Amino acid sequence: MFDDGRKTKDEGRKTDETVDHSSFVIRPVLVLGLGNPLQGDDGVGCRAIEALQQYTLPETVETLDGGTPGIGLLHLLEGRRRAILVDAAEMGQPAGTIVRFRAADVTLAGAAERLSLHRTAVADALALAEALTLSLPDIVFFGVQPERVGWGQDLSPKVAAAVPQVVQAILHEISHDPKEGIHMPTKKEAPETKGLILIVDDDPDMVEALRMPLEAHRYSVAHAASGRLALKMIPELRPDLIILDVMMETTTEGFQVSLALRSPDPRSEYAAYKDIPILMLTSIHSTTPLRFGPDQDYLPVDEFIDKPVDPDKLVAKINALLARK
Amino acid sequence: MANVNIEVHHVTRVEGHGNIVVNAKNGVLEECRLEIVETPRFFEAMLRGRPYTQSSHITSRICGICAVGHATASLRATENALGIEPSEQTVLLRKLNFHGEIIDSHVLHVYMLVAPDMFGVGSVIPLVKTAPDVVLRALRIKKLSGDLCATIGGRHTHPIAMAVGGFTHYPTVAELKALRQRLVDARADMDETVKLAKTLPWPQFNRETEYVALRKEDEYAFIDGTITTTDGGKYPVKDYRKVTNERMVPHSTAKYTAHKRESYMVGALARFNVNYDKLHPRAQAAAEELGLKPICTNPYLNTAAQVVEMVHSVEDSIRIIDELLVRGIHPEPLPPFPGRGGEGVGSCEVPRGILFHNYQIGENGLVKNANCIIPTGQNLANIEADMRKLVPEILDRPQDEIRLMLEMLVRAYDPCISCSVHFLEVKFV
Repeated sequence: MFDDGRKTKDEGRKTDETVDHSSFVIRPVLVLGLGNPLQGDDGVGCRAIEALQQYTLPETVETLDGGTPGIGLLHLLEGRRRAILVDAAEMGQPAGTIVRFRAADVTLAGAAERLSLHRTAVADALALAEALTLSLPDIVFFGVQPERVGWGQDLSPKVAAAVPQVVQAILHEISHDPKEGIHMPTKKEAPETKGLILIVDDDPDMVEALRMPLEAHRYSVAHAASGRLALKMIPELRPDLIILDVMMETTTEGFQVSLALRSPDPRSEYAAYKDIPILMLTSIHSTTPLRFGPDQDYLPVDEFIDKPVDPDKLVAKINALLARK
Repeated sequence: MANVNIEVHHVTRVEGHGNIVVNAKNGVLEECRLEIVETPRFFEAMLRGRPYTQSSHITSRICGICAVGHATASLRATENALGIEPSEQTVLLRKLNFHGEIIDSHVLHVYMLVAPDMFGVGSVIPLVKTAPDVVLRALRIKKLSGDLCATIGGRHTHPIAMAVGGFTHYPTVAELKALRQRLVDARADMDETVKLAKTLPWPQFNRETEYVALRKEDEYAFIDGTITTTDGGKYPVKDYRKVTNERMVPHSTAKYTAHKRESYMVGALARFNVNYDKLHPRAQAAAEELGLKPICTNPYLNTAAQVVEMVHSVEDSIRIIDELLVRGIHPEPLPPFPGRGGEGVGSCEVPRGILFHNYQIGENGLVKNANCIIPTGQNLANIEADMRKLVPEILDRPQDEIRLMLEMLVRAYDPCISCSVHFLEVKFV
């Protein structure tokens, strides 16, 4: 979820020096995720933007994880023709419900009466803009009904499940721009990457060592530092393949993760993910005379790869596993 | 004798939530406290087990106003733990980014939160009708500071370019020159801001207390320095616990702090009192214009000190940009993981006062333990002590006026109790 900063995305920065006063390209369409990813479902807007950035979008569109910009929202909207805002919204709906609306369709609580820099930032910013008769873009909201808002970095399952849906809804919105007449069927949206690989390993050096060849071969990479975290992330990320270390917080953690994911119980909470290929990392073959391989009952993984990892072998195995899938 | 019973729930125009409770019977104050209902208490859980490279990005999300501050304190804690020394260029860029956040936060506080009180209106919205030029000036300054943060930090609100040991991308010369010109142009807005602050009817209330801030001998300190107090304390940041001495109180989930007295104050006024001699001459002139002299003991004038700091940050930003333009911007590789763990403390002066991050990082590069002490937590005991002195002095006034004076006092500290909930509350019409 949190980029380490080494792979920053171009979020509207100019690359040449013939810049205007603001030093930023103002693209006419802004897709803005709002909220705090440390506050449970309040972070759904940021997560949606993260997922959306996996797609190639028209040059006219900027995606931005705006976090909690407060009154700064006005400056993010300035100079745009169109803005699509995605945020957690208390609408009295079942958790995970997505509602598309415009500001004129709703009353946003808190405006004017209790101005705070945070709590009702969107409402206050819009009320301030209205009072100042500032020119605002055409704004469409995608509200996602939260289930749990409070300190914690995980989305609730229902809201996590809504992320792919809201991404599709935003893609549809982008592709049906009435002004430019751009028609960009979402099914033709080509992801930038060949697939999303989830690396489950508590060794940051190993993660970096794996990340580099994978990204060089156009795979997207997500990382979980423990098996417990991985099991929380998988329903949300739905990775195309999992690279799984064995020894993490416990000596058999990787085994436990694979057994959970491949549980034969159809009522398992992970039943929907049992077909995700698992490539298990191990140093056993290189450090001991022991030999073992995939076993449907006791070690339900698809392939092994030995540490230290040969990047070419790694990519070849992943290509093969995904082709098989 | 006066009976007063005030309960202000969720003080408006304060970031986060706070309740004021005051009870007086027959002119005797029986109860006076600021209740805090939320704190970033899961800070350690946020970071434990995470790679050290992620800490600054995670913690910058704690607060949308102090995002650069949390990121900077986090980076300094990490670097101190791992023995990484940032380059001179990195230090300059961080200082510049930091000034952007100081201006950004202060302008919001002065114009959007405090000025409405002084003008006798409930929020900034009515101010639009009576003084639109004032509101537009505030937005103009905010846009400049936001663009400064975005140019250096890569994003308006939560910096993405700041990394352990350096930056992941850099401003161009043209961007720096454009920013410099806008900062020079902003001097006129700073002058107007000082004039505005001079006209505001600051409440007259004084209480001696201890002021705590970082201090450096060669500059007005915002990042790093020695923890210095007006009661004579001096500590390296690694010894921050000797200053904070956190303790629990029954009515709050936040920990209270105290050093040589029952409480101390951090924030713009504390920095002003500790570091007045390090302010830019233009900022000192602004202070003189406002009648602000160290040691100022009126907490309401924390906002006036913020105005002074805005002037300073504009001037020091111009100076830093000039230095960067002379040096040239040179991309620098980020330092690799040094293959060792350790413990480190990072400290900086975020808009609301001194902030501490303290990390233990394992040899595998994962965070083992983390601690964070935010400025508002350090101010809570001092706010309550102010309230206990203030209330008896104004008990003869109407209850609504007492209530407003208390709210204004809390807002003067610019508290950021919890940047907690940001979701929309929607009713379909």
